[in-house]
Amino acid sequence: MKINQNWQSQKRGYGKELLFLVSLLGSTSSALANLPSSSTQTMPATLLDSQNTSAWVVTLSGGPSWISGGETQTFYLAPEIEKTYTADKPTNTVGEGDLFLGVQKPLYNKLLGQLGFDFAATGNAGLSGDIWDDADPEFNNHNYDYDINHKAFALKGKLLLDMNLPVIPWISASAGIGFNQASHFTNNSTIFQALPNPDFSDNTTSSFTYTLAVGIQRIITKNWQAGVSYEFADWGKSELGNAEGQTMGSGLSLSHLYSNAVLLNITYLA
Amino acid sequence: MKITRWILSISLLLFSSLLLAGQSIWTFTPVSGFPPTVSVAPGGTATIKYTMTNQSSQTHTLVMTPIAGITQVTTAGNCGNPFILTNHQSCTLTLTVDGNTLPGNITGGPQVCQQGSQLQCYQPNFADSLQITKVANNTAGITVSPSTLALTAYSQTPGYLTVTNTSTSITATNIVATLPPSWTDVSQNASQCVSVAPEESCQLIFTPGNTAYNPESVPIQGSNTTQTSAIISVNAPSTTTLSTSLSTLTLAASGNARQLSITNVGSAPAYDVTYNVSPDLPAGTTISPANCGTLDTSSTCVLTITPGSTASNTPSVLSIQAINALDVTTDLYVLTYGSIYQQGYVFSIDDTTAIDGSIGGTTAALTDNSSGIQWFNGSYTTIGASSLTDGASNTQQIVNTQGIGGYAASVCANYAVDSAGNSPCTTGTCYNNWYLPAICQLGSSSGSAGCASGTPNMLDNLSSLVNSCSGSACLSGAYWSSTEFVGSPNIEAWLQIFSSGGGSFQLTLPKSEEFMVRCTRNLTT
Repeated sequence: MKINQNWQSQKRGYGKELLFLVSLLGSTSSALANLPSSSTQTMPATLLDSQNTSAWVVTLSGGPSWISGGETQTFYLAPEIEKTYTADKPTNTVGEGDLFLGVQKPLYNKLLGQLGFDFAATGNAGLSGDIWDDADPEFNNHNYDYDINHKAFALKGKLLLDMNLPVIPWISASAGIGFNQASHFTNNSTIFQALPNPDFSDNTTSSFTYTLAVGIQRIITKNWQAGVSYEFADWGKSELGNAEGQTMGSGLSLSHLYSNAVLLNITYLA
Repeated sequence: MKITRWILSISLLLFSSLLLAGQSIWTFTPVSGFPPTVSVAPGGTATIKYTMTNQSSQTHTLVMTPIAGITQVTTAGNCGNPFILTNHQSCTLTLTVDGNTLPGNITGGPQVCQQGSQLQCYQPNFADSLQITKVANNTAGITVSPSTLALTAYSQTPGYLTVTNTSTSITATNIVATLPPSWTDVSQNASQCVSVAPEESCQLIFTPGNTAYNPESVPIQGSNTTQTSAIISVNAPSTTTLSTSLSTLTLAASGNARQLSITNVGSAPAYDVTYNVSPDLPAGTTISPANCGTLDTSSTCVLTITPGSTASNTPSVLSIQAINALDVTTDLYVLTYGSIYQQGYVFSIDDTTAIDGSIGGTTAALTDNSSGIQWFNGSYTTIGASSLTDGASNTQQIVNTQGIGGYAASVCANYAVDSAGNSPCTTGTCYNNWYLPAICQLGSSSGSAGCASGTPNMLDNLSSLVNSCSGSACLSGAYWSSTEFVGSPNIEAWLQIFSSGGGSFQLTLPKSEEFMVRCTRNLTT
């Protein structure tokens, strides 16, 4: 129930970002004007052949993503209960999958453009650290860990340079809305005398998210291409829900979580 | 730049590991006389007290989590409910255990939380946690302290377990530990624990044997008590280090007894310190005491070695052993005139040296050092080497005056031989400081040089090399002494003629003549 309430409030908070996405889509209407009317239309044999033709594009990407993050935070959970949560900042490796649906259109000379929607999802990234009671390192009596995973829906643009070489270099950028689920918070006592604290609850936060990527791809057949890319992403904000008995502040939160991914991709042009 | 980041990372790691220690924000210290371990029978009560201290600089409002059968006493002088502790302030948390309402045994706690939630709660450390046993009406609860006992094999040092009768009304009887059956050499004295009044303690006393045993949980119980247990082990003794005062001890046959000190220089007692000798000591030589028993740290055992009349042919190696130390050795020699020691024949023995060291003495080289060499270095000079008995000082004077060259005294001054017989030295111990003997070290008072009777000399004390002797060791013919002839000190010096069958004599001749040389040397430790 609490999670739903958070989602509702955050959803309202990101209305502006959704409007921004819609306006972005509108501004690209000229690119969409030359779309083929049906997928049965005769397709170009190569990208060079397609310089004067528009095409539908479907790209499926996947690969490892490395996340390092966490921030040391100090706050009151209730009157007279102040705690510091330190961050270990280890590097996590998680899986990332990505589906892009869009159109390709020649832009200028050997420059091609792709525009469309992107759906991305990742596995759980683990964050951990120590808990100092009274926000005092002398009372470093607990440690904690929790998971964050990320799903995103974004508008993505991609520029490809076809120099008639074996591979085609490209860059891309996307912006959209991300859904960051913080979950499985657990804490453990590090000394016998300290009793475990109630855990923060699971919570999903929606947030503005963006990616920047660079990659190369190679034409396999008339319709198929494959490639590899590096992608930087900002997952945006994440926040755990309150713990039982907590009357002040919120759960642990992060305003940004950054990932670096190496993705293999396969593209179908129709 | 990278190095700086590494150093920073390592520093942070070290710092964070220091932080890992942790401590309670509020601590529980049991108040003496009101321990947290009690046994309570129906109808009985017990009081447990902790001193609660706020270790933080922040103020905390605290509440104890209720426990069935236990009531917090909040009257004046005790912690209230809730109770507020400012910076490092303390109060006494007093708990009354009611045997009637106690539902069963209680292990752990009490828990004291920040008021209003479970977000910050602490309890005593394990040893100070509540251990409340609900017992039947006629059973006394017992506790044992310490919970582990480590004995040391060979030490014969007893270990103690204190058993406390936690009952407030029942006398505990016949409390005893049941040791594992295989621990046959560990003894227990439970005589103090035959009858233990309520809330009183007794001691069980354990004495180890010579066998080590792994830790075992040993049950402890009386005729009318609950059962408790302690972990008991018999550990092998820690290793230590022995040291002897001398690596070599020389004695005179039929001479004075001498002392050798064995010291425990390690950090643990040395157990069962004994010794053996190999090869055997020469007949008649004895060592006492027969063993040194246990040697405490920094303690010394003095062995007295009394020589018999028989001399050693080879060194007897005295090996000192202990259960928990590496062996140490001392070479023992019983010497007499004619014994070969330090690459020479012993012809003089000084048994007046301190009894915690070796004898003194003088040896003659095993063979001649020259078959013919002149006394002087080419010119006649009065040197003042006039001592009849001190060849070492004569030789020093001669060499200082005559300098480098080939002459009798320099042959000895430059002689060196090692313990393997190599000359010059190449291995083992090098024996140097040889000198040309004075005339009375060569010959006796029967000669014409005027030697005092009783002066140890080669003629008297190495007679087997003079009479009926064959081989390179023999003394035969004319040998230069280091003593100048006082009648014409610039021209002549004394000679000893060794002749088998009593024909030996002394005479003076010009320093330019060439005669044999047999060097001598004072014993070193």
